[in-house]
Amino acid sequence: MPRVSWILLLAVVLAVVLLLLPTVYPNDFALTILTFANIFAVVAASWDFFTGLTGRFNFGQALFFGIGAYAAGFMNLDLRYGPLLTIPLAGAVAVVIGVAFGYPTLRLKGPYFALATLIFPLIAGDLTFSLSSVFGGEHGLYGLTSISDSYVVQYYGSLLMMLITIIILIYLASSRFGLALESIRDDERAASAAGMNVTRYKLIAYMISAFFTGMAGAYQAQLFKFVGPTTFSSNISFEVIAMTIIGGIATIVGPVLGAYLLVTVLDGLGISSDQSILVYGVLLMIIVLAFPGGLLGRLKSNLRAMRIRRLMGGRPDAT
Amino acid sequence: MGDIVVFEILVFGGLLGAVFALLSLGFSLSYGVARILNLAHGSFYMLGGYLYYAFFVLSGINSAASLVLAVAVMFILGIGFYLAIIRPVRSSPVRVLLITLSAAVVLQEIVTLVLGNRNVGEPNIIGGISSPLGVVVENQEILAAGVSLAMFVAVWLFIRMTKVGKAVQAVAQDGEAASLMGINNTRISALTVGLSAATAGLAGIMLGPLMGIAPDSWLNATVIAFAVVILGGLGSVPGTFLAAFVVSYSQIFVGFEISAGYEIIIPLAVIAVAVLVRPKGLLGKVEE
Amino acid sequence: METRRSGMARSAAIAVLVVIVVAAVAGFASYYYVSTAPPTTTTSVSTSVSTAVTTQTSVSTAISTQTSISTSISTATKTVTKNTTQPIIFGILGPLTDVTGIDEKDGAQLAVAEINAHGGVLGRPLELVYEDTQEANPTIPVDVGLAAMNRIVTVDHAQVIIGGERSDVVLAEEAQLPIYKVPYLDTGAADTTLGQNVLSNYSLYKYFFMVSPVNSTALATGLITYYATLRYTNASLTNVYILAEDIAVWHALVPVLQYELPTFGYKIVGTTYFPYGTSDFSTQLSAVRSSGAQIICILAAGQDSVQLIQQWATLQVPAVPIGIDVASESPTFWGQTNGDAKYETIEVGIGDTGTPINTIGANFYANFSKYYDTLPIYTADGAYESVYIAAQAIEKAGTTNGTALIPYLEQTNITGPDGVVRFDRSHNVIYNPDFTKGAALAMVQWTGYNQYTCVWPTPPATKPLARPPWM
Repeated sequence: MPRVSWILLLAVVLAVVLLLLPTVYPNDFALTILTFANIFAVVAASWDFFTGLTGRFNFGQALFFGIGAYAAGFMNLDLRYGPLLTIPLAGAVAVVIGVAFGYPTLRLKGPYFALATLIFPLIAGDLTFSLSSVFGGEHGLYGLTSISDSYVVQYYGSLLMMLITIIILIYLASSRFGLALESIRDDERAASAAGMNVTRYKLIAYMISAFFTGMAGAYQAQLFKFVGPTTFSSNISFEVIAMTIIGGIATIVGPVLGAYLLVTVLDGLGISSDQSILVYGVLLMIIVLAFPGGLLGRLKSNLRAMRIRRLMGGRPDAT
Repeated sequence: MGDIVVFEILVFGGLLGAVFALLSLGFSLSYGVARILNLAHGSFYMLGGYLYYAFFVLSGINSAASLVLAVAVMFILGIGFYLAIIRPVRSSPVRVLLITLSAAVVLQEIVTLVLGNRNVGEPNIIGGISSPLGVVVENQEILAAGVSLAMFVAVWLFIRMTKVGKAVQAVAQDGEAASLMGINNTRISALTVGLSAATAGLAGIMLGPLMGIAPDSWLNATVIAFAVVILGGLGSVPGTFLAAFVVSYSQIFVGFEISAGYEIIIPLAVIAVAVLVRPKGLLGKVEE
Repeated sequence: METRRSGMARSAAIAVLVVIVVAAVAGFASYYYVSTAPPTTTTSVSTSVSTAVTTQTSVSTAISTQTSISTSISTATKTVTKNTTQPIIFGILGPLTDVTGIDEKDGAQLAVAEINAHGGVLGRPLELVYEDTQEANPTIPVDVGLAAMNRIVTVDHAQVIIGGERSDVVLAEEAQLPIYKVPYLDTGAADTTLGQNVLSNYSLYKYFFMVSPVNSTALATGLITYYATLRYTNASLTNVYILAEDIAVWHALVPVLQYELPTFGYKIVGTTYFPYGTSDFSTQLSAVRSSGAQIICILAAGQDSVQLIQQWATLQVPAVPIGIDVASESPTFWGQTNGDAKYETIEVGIGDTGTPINTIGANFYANFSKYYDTLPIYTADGAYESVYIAAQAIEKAGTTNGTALIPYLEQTNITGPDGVVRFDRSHNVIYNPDFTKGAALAMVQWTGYNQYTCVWPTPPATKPLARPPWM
């Protein structure tokens, strides 16, 4: 009986369902909700790739999101690049600027790094608000061009972005690189003593996380045709943490599930944002207290199993 | 004109620093004793102010009783917070960060749902103005500084002099050894968090009329406490005291000399610089 | 043997994934190219509009004379005999847990009740639906508002949207309107960019109309006019210190003030921007005191003014705050500042002074206080007027089709609590110091518990500006 990895199976089933959805249930509202969910899924999965694998808590994922969004906005307005071009380019910009923030802080110990990540988006948000001549202040950047006005196109676009992101991240997470990151999480001193350049690995993971999140920010910018200082909001940072923890940290697919669950249930039911943050927070607390691995916590070992099987040439008894 | 500004910086920075010291004391103790970084520390500040508002403005209880009541409730709340929320995840610093952050957000939303998201407008405990050194200052600010200073010293003496306080020191120095000697680590940690909630809440009651209390006040308060404690050294009480004034003076100085626009950036910048240059802090003695 | 099979399963899974991605790309590409084909429906819309117009002559003659709104609607319903009971749906899109959103809801409900009591619109009752954007909370991101807007159109089927308060949210909502093709009547955001968008890209932004308040340029004009009149009644107040939040809308206004005020004999003794969300004003108020200012020209859109005013009063700074303070327009401001708001003088729409300027306003006040036990703020006036504006446009157009309504909305000419509402080419309500010619502004000064009195213009002002006792 072939041992099919649960992660891949789940991913495949999810992907098929999502792809066929507009043909089965072409409801505009549902498609919009799922588009939002896809954007958040990308951000959450990128967060999980960094924090889940390296164990370094990043409390400010919104930094990359906002950088990507503003970069896309500027490229669209000033350079007249179309959205299909700005999305990947914005990801690149998020990496560059993210590294500028990340490089000095990545070598710091856990709580110091966590605190730094908490305040960076606050500073960025403040700056975009006060340097209003450059960033538009509270107006932000508006009048951006979008890929299409059709709900269906936007849905498929976001879905494509999400699927590509997940595939790449799962591949990286189950590779030797992912193994190296997890060894940092498990015992950084041992890894460093074994000769690994710990900071460089963390930096690369950080850059990957920044890239995809920046892309997601750019996607939202063209969807809303607008970018404002609230794209750096700590709400976003907090929500993706909640989605990942609830779905299952260090699984890459868990955050997608968490994102879908929370966005569709809360936005779909029209629960006001205050109450939905309350729900996120309470759920998060319950999960942290009761289920350390999240709903898909079992899958964490599956990621490891996948990797070991690949690296050991597929010998099942290696697990 | 230049003279007045110097005195203004002196007076405002000093008064604010005293309150920052009280606010940050609990955060420092929580780390030193219970080994936790409580991101919800600012929530204690916020809740203290709201409790006072609820007792004094909404229920009509007199001012002094409201204050004592609010601080007492915060103490009990802190103990409960430790036992119910922090203790189960104490072993993992990352989970502590996560759960305290979630708790802070949840508390913010609950307060918003109950009392709205606008600044409630806590009234001054004492009104009027005075002019120390020729600088016009609200009496509320002088009261805040005085009470904060007194409370800080009281807690410091408590830790130094009393039997319970010495147990606190023992746990801070070496938790395992302390429990081997018969000290109940859980009880001491709960007491410490209760104390930090009470002191942060008092700071909120004192500073609330001046700075305003809104459901999102916790973030700013946590950032300031974090800045002070990182600068002064996690777990060092004298370091906290010193650093509080460094932060407050920097903030006031920037506000007067450079631009009022950049005051808020100061504690953030302090954290950034301290973290990069001297992660152990000015007088840091507890290793991470 | 097991190795090869699990290896095959793995390859199969990867192959399936690749197929799915390819299919996704193909599906995306095909829909994209299909959906960007040019639309072919413009001609049918214009023919339906012209037939609607020819059957509505009795309504339009009633409206062209400035009679009260409710009577014109009732005469219309008597002549038109459409017989459906399917309701017409208006959507209220705003911060429903904040006083601004609550007033949008209440003002709209009042108007809907009145219209339905007179037979509804086109013989059909009006119905309201509500979605909360949370925009009163400055940290809530824009996507919350956009999701709410999406719900109100696609799920609640609103045919007209009324609401809005925070500029960035309303700007983002404005950009989405061409997708929904639903008219949006703004009751709270004053940003001039909203109207500029209409001018620069009419076909996309034409669905947007700013009903209340007047845009920020007009707000500045009104304020300057008041300052000019003060020179005659309070000649000793000459030194002005401008204290503004550091946001784009004030950045546009302050230079205008700095230019105009000295022409009336004022001396600007200082200008300071403070960051949005400042809570400690000791440095700024010290500077005001030492500058010798007698007036603080306060410009605030957020909650910072609560602390600013509280500190101003406690420190007894010898200057009167006269300016624009949105937080202060709410009746809760007195409680929030524990009475320190006394003597603060702020600009409001002329319908919010507490003293009505026309019969419509009088009825509006009376009913609003009766049903909601409080005085209305600017969003209530705006929502009330918006319901009537939309109802009237639908009557004249004979249809609820959003695009068809635009020309009728543009012809709006009604009298409301704020004066006369007409739109200019940028779809902004036209400001006029005379409330019989346009929407007018007033200055009110806090005098007591949840109470302010109008100090300008006369009428309806009855009292002059008072100075705090420590001046």
